[in-house]
Amino acid sequence: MQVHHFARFVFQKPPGCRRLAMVSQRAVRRVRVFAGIALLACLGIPDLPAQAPDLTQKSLEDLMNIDVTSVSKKEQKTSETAAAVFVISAEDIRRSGALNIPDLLRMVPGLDVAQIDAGKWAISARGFNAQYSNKLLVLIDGRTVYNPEFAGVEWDSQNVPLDSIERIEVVRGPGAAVWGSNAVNGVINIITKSANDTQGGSVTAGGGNAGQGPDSFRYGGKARALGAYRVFAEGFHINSLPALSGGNGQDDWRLVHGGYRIDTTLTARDSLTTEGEVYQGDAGELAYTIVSLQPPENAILTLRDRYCGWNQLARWNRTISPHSETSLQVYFDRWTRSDLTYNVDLNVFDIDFQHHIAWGARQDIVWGLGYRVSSDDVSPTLRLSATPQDSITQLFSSFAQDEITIRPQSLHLTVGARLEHNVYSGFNLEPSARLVWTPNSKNMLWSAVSGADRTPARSDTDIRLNPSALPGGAQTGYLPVLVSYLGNPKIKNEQLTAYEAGYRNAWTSRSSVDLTAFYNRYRDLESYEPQAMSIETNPAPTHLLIPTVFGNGLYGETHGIEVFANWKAASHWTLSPGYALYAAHLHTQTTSLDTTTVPGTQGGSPDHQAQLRSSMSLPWNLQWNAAAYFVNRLPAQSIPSYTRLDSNLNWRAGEHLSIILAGQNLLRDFHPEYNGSDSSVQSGMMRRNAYAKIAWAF
Amino acid sequence: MNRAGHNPATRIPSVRTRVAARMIVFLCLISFLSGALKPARCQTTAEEYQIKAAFLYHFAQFVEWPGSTMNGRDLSLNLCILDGDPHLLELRNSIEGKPIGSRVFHVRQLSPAQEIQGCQILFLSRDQARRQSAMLKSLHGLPVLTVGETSNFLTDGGMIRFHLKDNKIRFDINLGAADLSHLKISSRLLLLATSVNLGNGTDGGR
Repeated sequence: MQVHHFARFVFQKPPGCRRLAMVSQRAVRRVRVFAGIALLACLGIPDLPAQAPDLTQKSLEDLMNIDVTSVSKKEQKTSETAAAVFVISAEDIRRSGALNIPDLLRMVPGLDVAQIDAGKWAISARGFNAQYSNKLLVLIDGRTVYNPEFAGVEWDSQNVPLDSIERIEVVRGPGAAVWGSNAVNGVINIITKSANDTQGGSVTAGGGNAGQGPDSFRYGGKARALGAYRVFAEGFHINSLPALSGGNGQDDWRLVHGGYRIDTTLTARDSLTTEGEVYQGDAGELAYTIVSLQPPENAILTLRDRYCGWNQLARWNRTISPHSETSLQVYFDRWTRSDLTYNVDLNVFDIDFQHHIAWGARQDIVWGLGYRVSSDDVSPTLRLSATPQDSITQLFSSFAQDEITIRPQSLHLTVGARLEHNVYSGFNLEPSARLVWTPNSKNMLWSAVSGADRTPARSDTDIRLNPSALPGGAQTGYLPVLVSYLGNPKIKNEQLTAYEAGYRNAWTSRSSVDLTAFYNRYRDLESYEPQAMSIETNPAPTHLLIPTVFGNGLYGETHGIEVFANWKAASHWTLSPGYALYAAHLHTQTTSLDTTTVPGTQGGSPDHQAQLRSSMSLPWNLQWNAAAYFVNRLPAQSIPSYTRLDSNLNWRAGEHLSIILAGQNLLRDFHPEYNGSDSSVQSGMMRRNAYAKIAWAF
Repeated sequence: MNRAGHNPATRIPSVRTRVAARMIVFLCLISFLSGALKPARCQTTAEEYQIKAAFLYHFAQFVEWPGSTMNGRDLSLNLCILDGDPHLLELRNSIEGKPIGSRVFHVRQLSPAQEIQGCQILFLSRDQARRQSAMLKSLHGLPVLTVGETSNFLTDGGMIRFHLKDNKIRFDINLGAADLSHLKISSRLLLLATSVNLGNGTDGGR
């Protein structure tokens, strides 16, 4: 059993603002581009009603020479899952031509992926997008890469060689009942291939005007006692982009990493997976930041963000009986990160036990226990400090979920809940109930009600961030002024109650449709509450302090629709359209003085996103893929709407060699995707780029 | 924090339009080519489960079941899949009713309560990964040819595992498991397999 997918689906997504009609010339042009793509695709399929040939007449040898046009169904049986699930398969990854995980995630309808600069992204589901989106849980092989101390994901240190990924499961909507806190608006679960499936070697090299690499090496083999193993190393250097404000963004990004995975069969009932990774990277950025309390108080600095880390995971699966399986997983994760303005290191140890048991003919139960301890150290700088400087926190968790067959083959109810205890907000209970109705093999309806919490982190309780200072004047008694954000030890969980419904249909073996609607109610959303000014002597010189303290002063609703389809227009051609609508209505409690967060959040996620992906097999082992993504404007950030077109030509030149030629952002020389006020980094302009990649397998 | 005034992306629509137009022309060319050239090559691609269905059909010709399994009266050769398997239609459309020697191929859906008896072949697709290990254990030693596709299918005690190599379908054989069930697999099939494992049927690895 792969760790816990059977149970772990539950989720949703929210933010944005509603701007249904914004027909501009640009939109018209965009429509034309889409029409062009559609037209071109049609030209390629003169044999639409192709009758399947009778393959049984062929010999086995002939069958072995037939190319598979599609690895048709998703690995996971998403058609039965009562949640808004999208699975990116290994084949999808190969066809995407993407160079990193964030670019892959663009294909998930309803996910909001906005690139900030060469190596930074803001990614969220169902609204609330930010550089450190704190309501989206991300895991790699069961290890959380959502930073439990700083509530967000550092996408530049989450790199998995893309050809080693088995699949990425993305659930929009809450998954807290199974996955735990912070799985509020979604879960991204990246699952790597078994070492059994990556035997042999491969060398990949590539580059283009966006940068060099990723260049990688991978080798998989078998050792007598260990079983199957693989080792890999990968590196790249991404060039800097122009800054949105003009000039060079100085944001070039380098990374090298290496790792291994071993899959050992211990006995007929026991298997063990061990894996680990070590990485080191650095990325430039232009950041507007405080430098001193004396003139010049603030400056745009060219910073070099350096980070490194390693992690190690082991998972033991045991089959006790045909109806009962357990898994025990332990991992350790360590990283450090710093530039001139901050310096942080973090250690996480996590142990997780799970038991899956089929109880009678009608109940399928999963339950588990978990413990996590994290320690961190924030070396104080003028910009960022924490009190206490170092901290150790523990998280205890338990969950149980029961999938009950009410009517065999057609009606299933899943109820579950998770109980957690953390140092900041004490006990949390996160329940969920999901109902699936499968009237026949072609239609499936589901609905769900669930609760999820975003728990406070060090960054909400203990931190002090001084983003800027102002020179003194007559009004301040000639004292300099320090602007400061202060953590609040009394901060509460941000709470969500989500209502979801979905419909899936596979009318024919050539087409399928997936539709989800959600309505989310949030309570105690985080706010920034201005406080009375005071005089502070430390740090020197004596200055006037304008403090803002984190609070729970916001609440509101979000709702939206996500729909996607797959259509096999011909045996060699697949089209996948998708669309997401999102609207947020957030409010400020009467006691709150926060005036900026509501418009910033509502206008910081797109209200409309649409996409069309096309994948076509051509003769001579060529494959041509294209994807167009439309993202509507972000009013709070003055980001205009944009359409992004990526395309690639993939050639398998024999058994060992494959070559890919790809272009990204083909429609424009430059466009920005994100400029949120949450990020101190100067945003970059995404550039049209082309690259070639060659892979040799041996 | 950066609040730039104007946005260079909106400056030059004409260039952008021209580039888009060029892209479309290029794409059209490619798709024309693909359309024009396709007939000559159309035999070389097919849907994954159509090909797998054909493989399953052939496997039946290269496997010998012990005498008692094929009771003389019944002329059907049953390929079973678990109920709810999304590939039922594809398998049925490809091989249902095909003659195989003096027998006729049937694709049957197996509901949980139903006996495996009467099934000569059991195909467990990836979508059944959850039930795979339990299913294979319950079949231990029974004369049913088990075919699957997950990476641990053979270590779970399955007999033939499909995998994809360079977008083409290949298979591995766990001869130990077949022996245990008294199935005889023809050497012709063994020669075509990517790997043949002689293990004891449940824990041999691959």
